[in-house]
Amino acid sequence: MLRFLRDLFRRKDTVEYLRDAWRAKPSTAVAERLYRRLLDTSSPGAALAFIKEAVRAFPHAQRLRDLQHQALRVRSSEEIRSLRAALAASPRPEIYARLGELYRYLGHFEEALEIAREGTARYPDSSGNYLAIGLVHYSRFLKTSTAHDGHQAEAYLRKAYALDAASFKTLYYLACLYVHVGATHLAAQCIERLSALMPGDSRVTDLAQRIRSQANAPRGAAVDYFRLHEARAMAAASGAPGRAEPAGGLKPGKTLDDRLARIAALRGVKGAYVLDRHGAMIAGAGQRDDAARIEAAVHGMLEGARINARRMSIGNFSRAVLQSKDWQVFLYELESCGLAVLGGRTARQDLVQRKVTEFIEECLCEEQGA
Amino acid sequence: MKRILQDLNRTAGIRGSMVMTQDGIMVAAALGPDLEEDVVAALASALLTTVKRSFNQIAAGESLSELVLTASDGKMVFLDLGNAYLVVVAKRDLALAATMVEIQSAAHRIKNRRASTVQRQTAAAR
Repeated sequence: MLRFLRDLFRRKDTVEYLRDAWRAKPSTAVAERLYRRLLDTSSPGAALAFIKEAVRAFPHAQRLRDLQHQALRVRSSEEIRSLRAALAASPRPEIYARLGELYRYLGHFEEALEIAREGTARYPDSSGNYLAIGLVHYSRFLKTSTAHDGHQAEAYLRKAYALDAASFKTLYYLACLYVHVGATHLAAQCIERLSALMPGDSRVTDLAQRIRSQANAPRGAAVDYFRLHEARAMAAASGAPGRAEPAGGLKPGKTLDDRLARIAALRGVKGAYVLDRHGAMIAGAGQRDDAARIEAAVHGMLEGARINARRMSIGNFSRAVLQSKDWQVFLYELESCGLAVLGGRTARQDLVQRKVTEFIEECLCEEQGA
Repeated sequence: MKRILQDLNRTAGIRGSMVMTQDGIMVAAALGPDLEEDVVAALASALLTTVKRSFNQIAAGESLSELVLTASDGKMVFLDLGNAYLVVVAKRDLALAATMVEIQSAAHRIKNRRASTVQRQTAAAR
């Protein structure tokens, strides 16, 4: 008799039995038992999938919602561990952004800001990390209504949008922020763009309904913190032209090396280098002891200048001068490649400029002669 | 601070100027009608961060004190203010040698103003 009862009890506690019971007659009690059993016997992923299903069936059951939240926290913690390992092995901008989002979800706002800021420092052209920072401030703003967080949320979300105008998520949260503060005019502009990005999306429809219900409501005090020039900013950002394709090319050889050597011989100049559009060094003169490092650094500076000059609507990059306490870097855009001259503080800009002009003229003459 | 920027903008050839933090958040701006504060701040920050990272590969440990970028339709000047940058957007034909004095003077005034503000805040906190 005892054995029978024990077997019955065991059988009633199996995943299969509980699944059958859930299918036959769903209830919050069965859902909780099945979720716990799945956690004990199976993967947390299966438990999470089931609890989501249970919450859909009983959307008002607070106990099930708490369990879902708990399951998500467990999964987030596991994902953070694996992402941290991935970050150590090969950092990528998406990893920083995802870590920022996970920390935000767990309520660890400071960690979220720290990792996302690290991401923006390493990958300034990637919008994901700006989005992550904006969302942290947005979450805090929802909790505390601190004007500073509202400001920051808007600033970072708009920055993310300026870098990636096709991001639904960025624009969606920007719209949510404007809806939250009652800035219906700004929110409506975002919603219009969201509808163009993803027509018929239910989240956008919900936001539009919220706006309509707010249309006659007085503007919230917080809206005064938000500036009203969004439309032109977004249009300017989304209209940024692409990069021109390179044409032609300088040929490596003794002549090119000799010409660069004349620039490198100037007082205070440490080296002169020509790189193709892909960052490979075609020729160089002067300091060559760490060519790979110089090649990578010069390519990074040239690319940064090329891409951002166009984005800032000041046209095609032509030259740049960078200075620090002990260093000067002169960058020039040639038709098909880039020229960099590295020097100390004693290098004279006017002399470098004159030699570079000579260099360009000689190269042009040679090309025309050919 | 805005008045300093507005004074600077009166210099011939300058289209606008702004002060922004190193991560691209605008502190003060006096940009012309055709320049958007947030867009300029975001893109200037992106440019600065990319260029600084590469610059540090060559000049390890040194902070970039000045960057002058010339493009087909305009110029941009960045001057280090300590924990912020003065960004100046100028026309392509701006004679930089002559105007640089004005820009550096504005940077100096902004630095002094920031320092005095911090002093006042510290005194008030005491």
